[in-house]
Amino acid sequence: MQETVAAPAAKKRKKRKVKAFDVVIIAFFALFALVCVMPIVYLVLLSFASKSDYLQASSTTVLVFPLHFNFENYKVTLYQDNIMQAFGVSLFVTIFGCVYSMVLTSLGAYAFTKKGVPGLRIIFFFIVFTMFFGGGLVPMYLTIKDTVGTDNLFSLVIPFGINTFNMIILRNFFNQVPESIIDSCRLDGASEWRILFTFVLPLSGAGMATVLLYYIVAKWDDWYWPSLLLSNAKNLSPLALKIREGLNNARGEGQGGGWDPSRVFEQGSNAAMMIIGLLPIMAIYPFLQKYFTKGVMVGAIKS
Amino acid sequence: MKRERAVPAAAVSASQREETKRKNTGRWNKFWGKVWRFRHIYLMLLPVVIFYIVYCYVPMYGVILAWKEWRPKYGIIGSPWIGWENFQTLFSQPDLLRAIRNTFIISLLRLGICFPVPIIVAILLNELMGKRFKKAVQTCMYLPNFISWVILGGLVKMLLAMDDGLFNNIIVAFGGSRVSFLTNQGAFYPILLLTEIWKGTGWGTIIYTAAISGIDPTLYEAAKIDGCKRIGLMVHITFPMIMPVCTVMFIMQLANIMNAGFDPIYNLYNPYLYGTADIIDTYIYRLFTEKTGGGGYALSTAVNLFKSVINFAFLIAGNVITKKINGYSMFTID
Repeated sequence: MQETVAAPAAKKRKKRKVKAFDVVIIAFFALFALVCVMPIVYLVLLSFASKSDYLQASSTTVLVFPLHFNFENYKVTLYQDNIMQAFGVSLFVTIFGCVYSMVLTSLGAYAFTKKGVPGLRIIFFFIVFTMFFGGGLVPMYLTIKDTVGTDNLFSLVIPFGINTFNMIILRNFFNQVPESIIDSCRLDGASEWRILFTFVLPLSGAGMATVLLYYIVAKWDDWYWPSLLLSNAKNLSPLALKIREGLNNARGEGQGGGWDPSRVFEQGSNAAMMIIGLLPIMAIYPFLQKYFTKGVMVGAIKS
Repeated sequence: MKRERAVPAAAVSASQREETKRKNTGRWNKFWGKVWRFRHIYLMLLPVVIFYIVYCYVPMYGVILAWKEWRPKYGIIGSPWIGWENFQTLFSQPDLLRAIRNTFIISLLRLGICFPVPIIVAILLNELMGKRFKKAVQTCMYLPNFISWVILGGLVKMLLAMDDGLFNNIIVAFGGSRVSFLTNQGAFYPILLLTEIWKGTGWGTIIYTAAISGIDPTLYEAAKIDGCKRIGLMVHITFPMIMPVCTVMFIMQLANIMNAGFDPIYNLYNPYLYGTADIIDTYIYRLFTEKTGGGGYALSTAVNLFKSVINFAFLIAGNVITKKINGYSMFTID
């Protein structure tokens, strides 16, 4: 009798007892995680299915299963929509844009960590003010047109240098670098530039990763400004804009491009296009995840 | 004091003058010395300031277009002034009034329905046991945030399609008949809000999870001794402790009330749904793109200005409240 009572007590000391409440919560989160991932899985299934699989779904199977696994949807997407070129444009805009943005943002973020610089507070106020009040679409468009012109790729990069919010996040990270390190560097005769590039930036890895991720996502997914700025240069469309147009305009199944038109279906090729658009972000996401959760926390709490 | 009084008056004023002069030049030199000491910082700021002037303040000056008639040949500065005519034209249009109403409705719905979800999920997540499982769940939860609205909009439309969408297939499998979700004005808000919850909940938990992890564990111990059960702990300890963060987030969202979210709506709506779905931002976009030759430029600017001013008023009010709660303003460096 006594032993049977003692055993669970000992167990409890080692490990928390699983109660009904825990089971409910575990079930809830398992379901939640599933709901979050399911649509992406469904897109993948759809992109590899053939037309007959799809037609079967609306009559019998409900879900689309790629029983006739094939790449025809990808073939038609890559061939018909000039997706590869759009992919290249997006890659160029994202990489070039991120380098440009990161340089400008870290310069600003570092400058704003300094104390006692005459005029810094006023400049900061004027910069934060732009977060809340702006000229809006038309004046911005006209300014871009007058400075870098439209219908070229620079117009997608140069005007979108700094996101003020990102700069403030980065500044919070730079502020966490111990003052003593910076002071000792200065005593050793390092210039501000050296301090920034060889000490502060490497010590703020999580912050840099977070802000970089924000920039990558924003630039990769942007279709709004491209749709306005490249209205006469459709061949320069980045991927997001291409996908938007592809999804909204019905495309034929087409023939003669080296694919089997009997297997291709519109939803399938749309799914293939979406997967191609998601691929780069999904590829970098796991690598940056451990940084950005920390990054978001620090950035959010401080600001 | 006494010694000063002993000095003749003329000499006092002379020496004082000298003193203040020296003090002033001293202060002056000190100021420029400081400026010189931070010259590299100014050099770093230079490209940043140029960027903000060219791409934020020049467009901000461009809002004067709201009181002008756009003539492409003359640009913003050369175009003729026409007073409040643009605003009069706009406010006589039922489309704009509808867009304003929809903006408020969608923002308030979002505040009421989408806003609490990440808070609840974060509190529940705190109760989840198993470190590995928790990590895996979080990885899945953050994922939807990285799906762009273009793709998500396409996906939602695909899933809800009348003839062959997944949801209609399910309805049919359960013996129902197909519903046209995408042209139904009443269905738009549920679709929009559910999609936003799907996309934003996981990501939204991060900040609340951070706040929860900062709660002093002794509070829980004390409450347990007082006989609190787990649900009691959630309600009486966790929730009140993250309340300040929730309040700030709420106020920040409230201050953004005029931004009902361009991307989600533009990627989900269609002309059938303008009655409930058209918001100020989508209206601005269509004014700009649909009228050829810049016919909508001035009007679009005017709508935007109207929106910005209202938004700014909300923001200032929000800032005052946050300042009272947190003790700091959003506009300054600590």
